[in-house]
Amino acid sequence: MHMHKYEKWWLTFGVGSLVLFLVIVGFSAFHYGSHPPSDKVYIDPERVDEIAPFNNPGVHKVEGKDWDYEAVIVASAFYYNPPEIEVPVGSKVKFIVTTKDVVHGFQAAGTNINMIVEPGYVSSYVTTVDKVGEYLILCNEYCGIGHSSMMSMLKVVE
Amino acid sequence: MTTIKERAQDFVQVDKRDAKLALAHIYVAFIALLLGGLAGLLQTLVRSGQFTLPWGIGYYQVLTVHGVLLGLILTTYFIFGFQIAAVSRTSGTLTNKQRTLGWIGFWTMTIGTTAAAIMVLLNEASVLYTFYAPLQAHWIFYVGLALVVVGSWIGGAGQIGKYIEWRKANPGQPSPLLTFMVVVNLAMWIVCSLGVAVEVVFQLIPWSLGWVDTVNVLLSRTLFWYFGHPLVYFWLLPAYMVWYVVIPKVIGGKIFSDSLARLSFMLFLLFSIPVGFHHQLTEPGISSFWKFLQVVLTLMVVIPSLLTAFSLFASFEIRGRALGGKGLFGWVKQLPWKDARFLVPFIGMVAFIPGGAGGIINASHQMNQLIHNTIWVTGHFHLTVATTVVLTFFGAAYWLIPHLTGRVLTKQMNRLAIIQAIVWTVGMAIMSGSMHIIGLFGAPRRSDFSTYGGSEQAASWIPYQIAQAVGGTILFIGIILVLYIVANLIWFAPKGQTEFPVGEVSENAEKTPMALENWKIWLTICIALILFAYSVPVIEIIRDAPPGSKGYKLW
Amino acid sequence: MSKKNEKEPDLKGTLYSVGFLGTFILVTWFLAFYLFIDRF
Repeated sequence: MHMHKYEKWWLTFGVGSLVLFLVIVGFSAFHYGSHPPSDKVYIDPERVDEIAPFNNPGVHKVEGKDWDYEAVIVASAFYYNPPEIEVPVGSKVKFIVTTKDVVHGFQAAGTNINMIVEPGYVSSYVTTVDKVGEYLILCNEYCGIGHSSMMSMLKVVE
Repeated sequence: MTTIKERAQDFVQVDKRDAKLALAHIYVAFIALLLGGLAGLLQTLVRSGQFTLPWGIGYYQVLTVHGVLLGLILTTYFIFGFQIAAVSRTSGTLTNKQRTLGWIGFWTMTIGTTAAAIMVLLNEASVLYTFYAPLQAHWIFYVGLALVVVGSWIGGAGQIGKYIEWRKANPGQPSPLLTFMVVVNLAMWIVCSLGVAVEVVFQLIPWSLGWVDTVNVLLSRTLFWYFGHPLVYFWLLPAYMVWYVVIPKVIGGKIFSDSLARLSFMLFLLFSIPVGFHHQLTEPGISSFWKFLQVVLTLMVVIPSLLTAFSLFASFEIRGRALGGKGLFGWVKQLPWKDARFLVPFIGMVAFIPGGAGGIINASHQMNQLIHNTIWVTGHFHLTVATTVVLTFFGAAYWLIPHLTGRVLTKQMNRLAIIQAIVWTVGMAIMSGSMHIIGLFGAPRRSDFSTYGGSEQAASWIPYQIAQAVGGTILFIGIILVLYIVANLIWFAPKGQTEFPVGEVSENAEKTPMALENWKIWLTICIALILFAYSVPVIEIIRDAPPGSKGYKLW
Repeated sequence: MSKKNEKEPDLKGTLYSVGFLGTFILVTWFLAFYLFIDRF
């Protein structure tokens, strides 16, 4: 198919940019492990309270793992348990979340901690909390009448 | 200059009976615009924190009305009205059988819409139009929406029937460009809406009737988004039809290239569908590998838009230069800026630049965490759908409705249409701009007003939420204006003939290769890509499924 | 003028227009990427 010379330049530039984006995000993901939350860990949503680690929600210091703390959170309409998470700045934290009822979101505003929590699945995200502050954790997936009152607080302290 | 005689030859009037069918769809579309727009206004007011809904109406009820009426009803009905007229205009009057299919489709969709609307108004279905299982609506809501989809298949069959008839009558010839584009859009629609039909018929309806106890939540979401992204291209492609075929004629120029237009539509058919995972990037149960594969396919779908951008600028520049435009950008001045049929869709094209750029960011794999389910996304699709697509539809309505009703757009109405577009642009810039900004701060979408227990972060969002209400109010004024113009064109404008503008292909453009109309090839590639992108992850979603979820009614 | 020049219309303005568009996409994407990298 015949194309104008400039159209060929434009397509080369445009497609080149798209390839560049893909190389950057692909390399970050598959070389540096910066994947979006994609766990394949399953749980019976009716028995969440009985199953470890969700039988003990809260922040736990751990040893011998790639991260320093585990923040275990149970979401349900319209609460997060625990209502507050405190971790020291610079520590590597694994956020582990599941839900007892419908689909919820789990997002700490102003951070990259942002994942969907689905009944039957465990979602997790590991990150180094490197900035002191209070970050509002909120539900960003519609879950019912109390959706906008569902919250917790992430406190990153000295 | 065209002579009067040439213009008379050029003039093709859509048959009255086809016009009636097209108009029926367009009426429903604009009623949906009024009601859905009112719901949108209420949402922005509530979200500002300055206003609460009276009479116990729920925020999420209003949100469901807004999403269903504007995302599904306004778009589908306007698109069908436009497509019916376009097929009749370029391939000839529909046969009685094709038109009857159109009417059966129309009534099936309308009965379905009414049933779903009643359930929403009774507060039995505040599940938003993305369904959100295991939230469980009344079964009639699901049946109603299923009827909308089935009705669209029946009506679509009438349009496709005309294309098949034309091809049989004209062997070896490329079909009229506009009809071809309609058929590509319908093919994409049918292939993708099969997904949501399976979800509704085999998962949600039996579950909401109590025939089965539980639902596979991730499978239902995957089926929805298999449909949900091509849905947005189903909205966009009719806008592209106007840009490719109608606008060149409006500016007095030619279509830059018939083959490139067809090629970009075929690329949309191929790459619009196997991309739904980019709506599920932060979900568990789907591996990063399959998500990334669909991210790659998602960015492929940008390519036909890159082609389109070039073709459009080129047809503008060639026309502007022919009118004496000099230098690098002198041609810009030569374009008919005072013609609403050009200016209104043109603003839509401009809005697609930030809209498209934002879309690429949204689909960029892990970067999705930056904005997932924040109100940035709402800001994004209010640029793409609610500006690019909607303004193009408005611009098309200004010639399509008078063409069908046998009236003319007066000078005053043309001026009002331009004012309408400016009002829309200002309102949207304020509303969508604020949404983009606080989205990056983390403010959520689909959320009632909340101070989140006095959180400092949430407090900093409120000024922007007030700005959204200001923008939303301006937009609602825009809706009143467009409805005024539409009412004028239906009932009051002076009688006369209005052209349905269809561009001719530039003499310089090469002959269209017939391979572009070989459906066996294109549909085979389309289905192969879908199977490639979805088979393994869907098998895993079913095979590894956790215990299913019972239904919840939490509103 | 050769025949080829007749066939190829002058599209310099188009080239600059799409060039602006492409640059806009690149700049916004890298701004978003920077924000993503900067946050935890």
